[in-house]
Amino acid sequence: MTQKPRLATIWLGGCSGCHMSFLDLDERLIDLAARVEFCACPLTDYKDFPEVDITLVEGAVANEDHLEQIQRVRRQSRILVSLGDCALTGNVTALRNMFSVEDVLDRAYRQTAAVVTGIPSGNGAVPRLLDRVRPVHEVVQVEYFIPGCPPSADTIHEFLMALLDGRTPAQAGRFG
Amino acid sequence: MTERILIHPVTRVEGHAKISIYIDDAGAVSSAQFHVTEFRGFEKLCEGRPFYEMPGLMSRVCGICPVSHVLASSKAGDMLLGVEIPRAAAKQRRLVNYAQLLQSHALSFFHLSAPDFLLGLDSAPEKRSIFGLIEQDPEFARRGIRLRQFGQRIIELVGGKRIHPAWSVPGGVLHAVGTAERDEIRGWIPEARQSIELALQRLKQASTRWLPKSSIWATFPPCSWAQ
Repeated sequence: MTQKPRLATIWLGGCSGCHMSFLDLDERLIDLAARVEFCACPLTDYKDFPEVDITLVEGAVANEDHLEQIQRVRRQSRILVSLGDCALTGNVTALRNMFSVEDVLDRAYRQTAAVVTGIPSGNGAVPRLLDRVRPVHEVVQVEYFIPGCPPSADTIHEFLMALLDGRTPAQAGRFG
Repeated sequence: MTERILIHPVTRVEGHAKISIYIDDAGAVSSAQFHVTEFRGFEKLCEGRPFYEMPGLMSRVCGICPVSHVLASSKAGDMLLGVEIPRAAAKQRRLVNYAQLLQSHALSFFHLSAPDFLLGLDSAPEKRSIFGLIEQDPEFARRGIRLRQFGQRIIELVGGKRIHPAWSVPGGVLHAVGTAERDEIRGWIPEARQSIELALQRLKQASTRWLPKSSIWATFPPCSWAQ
């Protein structure tokens, strides 16, 4: 028996809506679980990112952790898929590009802070923001793009089924 | 010399996080920090934008609880306009809010924490997930998936879209729920109630099972600042 394809997902700078849309596959998740092995994803307890066949990437590259993560994920993934508008274009995550990082942090952590003021670092645990939020394909090579904010569960399902059946997935979906 | 244990990433939570636990020379926890590592700068990026964009934009704060943000920003918009919204609109906003509570609670229990309770606190990490639960108890997992689906379906039927329904706007809502939608929602209720009762029953059983372990599991000597 051949091994099941290994599927992973990762969540960079975004709202998790694409992951929720993935969960909106509802009972189709049960059928999918029979066809793939779910590896690293925010819903599992993998701490290290293993070698996988397919990785769905939600979110834009917004901080130093994202940058390091996406480079490692790229090395470990045979097929990398940008899932949703933040991964594809930067979308809402990139709206802060109109301002400097200093101004954005100042507004949130000094001017409007109600209890504790000051930018948290957590002894280096809180990653530094990049000067500019970037879409995933500006940083690493991406094989497929699924637009949407979020892409609908049907769009995600059709894409995965095509990929698993060995068909060329249609670059379906729409922005927004 | 203080030792630091860094948990990264924290998984099966509704967000991005790391945890630092500091251990002193005596081997006791001296302090602990929960780090929220995601920051997008909404406080700044909203400035100068039209207020009627806010429900759609604020929704993107969180894809897990978008309804909360849509409603909060709609209400802020109501106040800016100085209007009282129609009673029917207020009721539909409330209905969608309850639907979100339902889907989020189903997610929190079945998809995120049930693997600990039902598969075991120290079960194999690679199986300790909703997918491991699907493997071990597909019918129970199916119930959880369908319970979350019910909440999401209400949001879709009333708000027009499951995630980021920008249907609630300053002044009210964009469209009214119809009788067909109302009847579909009603139709789901018996199954949802049964699933909730079953989940509670299973949770109680699991709690009893884990009671001896809970007295020692992840129990650290108290932090000085927490006393």
